[in-house]
Amino acid sequence: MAGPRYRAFDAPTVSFLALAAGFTAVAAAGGLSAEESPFHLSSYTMTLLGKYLALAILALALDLVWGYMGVLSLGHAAFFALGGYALGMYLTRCIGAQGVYGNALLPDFMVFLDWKDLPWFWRGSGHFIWSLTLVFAAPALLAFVFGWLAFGSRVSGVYFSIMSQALTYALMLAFFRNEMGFGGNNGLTDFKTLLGFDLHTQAMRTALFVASALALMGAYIACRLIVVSRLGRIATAIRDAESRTRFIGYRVERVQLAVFTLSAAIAGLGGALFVPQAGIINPGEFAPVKSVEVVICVALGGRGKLYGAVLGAVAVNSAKTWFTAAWPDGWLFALGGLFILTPLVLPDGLAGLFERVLAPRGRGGRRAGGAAAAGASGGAEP
Amino acid sequence: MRIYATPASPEKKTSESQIVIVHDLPDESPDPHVGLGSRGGRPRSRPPKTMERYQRILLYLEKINVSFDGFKAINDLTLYIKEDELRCVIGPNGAGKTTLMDIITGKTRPDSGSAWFTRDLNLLASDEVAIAQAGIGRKFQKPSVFEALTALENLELALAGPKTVWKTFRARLSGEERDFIEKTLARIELSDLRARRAGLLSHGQKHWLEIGMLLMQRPRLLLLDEPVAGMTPREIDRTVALLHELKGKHGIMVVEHDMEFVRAIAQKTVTVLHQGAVLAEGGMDYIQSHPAVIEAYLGEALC
Repeated sequence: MAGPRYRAFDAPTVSFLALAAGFTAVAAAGGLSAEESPFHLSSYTMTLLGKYLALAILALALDLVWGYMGVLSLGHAAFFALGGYALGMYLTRCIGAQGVYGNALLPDFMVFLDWKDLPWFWRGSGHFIWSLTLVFAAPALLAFVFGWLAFGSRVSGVYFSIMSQALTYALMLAFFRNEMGFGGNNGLTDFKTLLGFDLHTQAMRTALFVASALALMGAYIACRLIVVSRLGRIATAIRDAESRTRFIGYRVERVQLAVFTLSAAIAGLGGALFVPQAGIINPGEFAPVKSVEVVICVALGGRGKLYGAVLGAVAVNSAKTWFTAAWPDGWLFALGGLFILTPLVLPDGLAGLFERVLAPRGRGGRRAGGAAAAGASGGAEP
Repeated sequence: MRIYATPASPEKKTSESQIVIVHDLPDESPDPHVGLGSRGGRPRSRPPKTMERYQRILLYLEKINVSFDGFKAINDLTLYIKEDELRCVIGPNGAGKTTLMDIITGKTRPDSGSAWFTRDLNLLASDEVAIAQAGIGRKFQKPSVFEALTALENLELALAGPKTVWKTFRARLSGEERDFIEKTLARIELSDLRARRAGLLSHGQKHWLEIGMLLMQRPRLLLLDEPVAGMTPREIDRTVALLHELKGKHGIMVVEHDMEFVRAIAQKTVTVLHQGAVLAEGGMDYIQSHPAVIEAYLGEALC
């Protein structure tokens, strides 16, 4: 019997990372190849893939708190959007005098609103490093304050979910207001350059895709290090028997707060990668449906499996792309259908299906184990 | 001259705490260390002076009252448990046994009374985590283990030691800790099932795993809430043997329904709870022939 040694880089993790790296290399080569090449990927495709990966980072962040710790956040896209706004501010400042009004200091929307000066929170937004700090710090700070209040008062289960949904809705309403200083309704858009490079070239599109892939792998490794540590098993313990965890001497609310805050920072990174590729960030990203989509990504992929979250995010967002082109009105129905059918048909998600197919026959214990884990985490369902 | 309540001694066979008159107690007791888990808001209190006289008392509960919406769940309850004592608490349904455990572990706050764990920890000013870290381990009535984790992982999480977020993230098992886990696995007879998910263990094995988790905390006091509920006769025998191994090493309080089980493990003193108060306290024979106890149990049996 193996001792209680937990390795972050076990065979499935290494294979996943190798697959991801291989896929990235092939796609990047396709993006850089000549247009006549049969392997050429258009700038549209590169951007699409990059956006999927950015959303996969968000799904990974949600899986950490929901799949492993049993905290169902229905407002996780808020952290994603905040990270997006943090980088969006930098991109807006990069526009400089190339804007419609040609004002070197003020973004167009501020000129339009007849503002004379940058608001205080826009200070430093012209510096990339500061903006990058904000990408992590702004969502983490919000998550810390929100989590401090919620976990500190032992709000959990469905009440936490409702509060997190209210949080993202409130942020959406706030960001819609012009007075907030984030471009109101239109948000921040019309980006031109990032670090001096033109955002619209094929090379830059490919570079952003590769950056997203690398960030996803980094986030994956970070999450993996957490879930294999004792801290990760305590998170699972909290999911399955919160009061038992307390009675063996763990401050449950601190563990929840730490993991939730970290998860928000990871979500912020996803948002920051999404925005330059989408070309816009607006209050719509705070809409509750965005957060629900992420929940469905994780549920479809398989809760409590990091690669499941990535799979789910790519699958759901590919479906979304297809629907919005072929049958735009159908998307919400498809989403609702997934919401209902996933727990019924695929309680362990695609990852569970994948493992059932791969598991050698005659090892009933493993299957039963999977079912027990699903049963144990069932309490975390909405 | 002051008057203090003291634990009823089994020899005297009275049904109520006696009052003894204690002479020459110093007016001030040394300032106790109440920092452990004490929170603002509540007045800092000193440990009751009874404990100055009876230093071997591990758990001190005096004049505890709890009511839920007017229902008196615990009524002027006084109870002392000495170090290394195995105390059985029995009583019919609704006697307040589980509420008693809730008070000791900080889950329920009494309306009045005082509760101390040794002279160092005021239980009424501490939360569950501080109480658990100070060395009170609680086993729930329904076995509560981490079902998605293996038996071994369950024990590992319960290990005594620093439990802050960062320390647990960095935690690695030391050789000594590993040995302790092995020893505990052997003691609860789960050595061969260490890699099995706790959710797949039998009911009895879950009970033992939970007791094992308590032992990992190196507790000074174990609270066991109906440790043989739902067990087969063989499992009960095994649990009796386990408790015999543990007694003398830890203070143990067992709350139980099953009279036969209590007879099998009881040391000197058994406490009978009825309607939230101590009805009788004494040896098993004394308890079983006590008219009030018979009436309380008979009353339940007739219902």
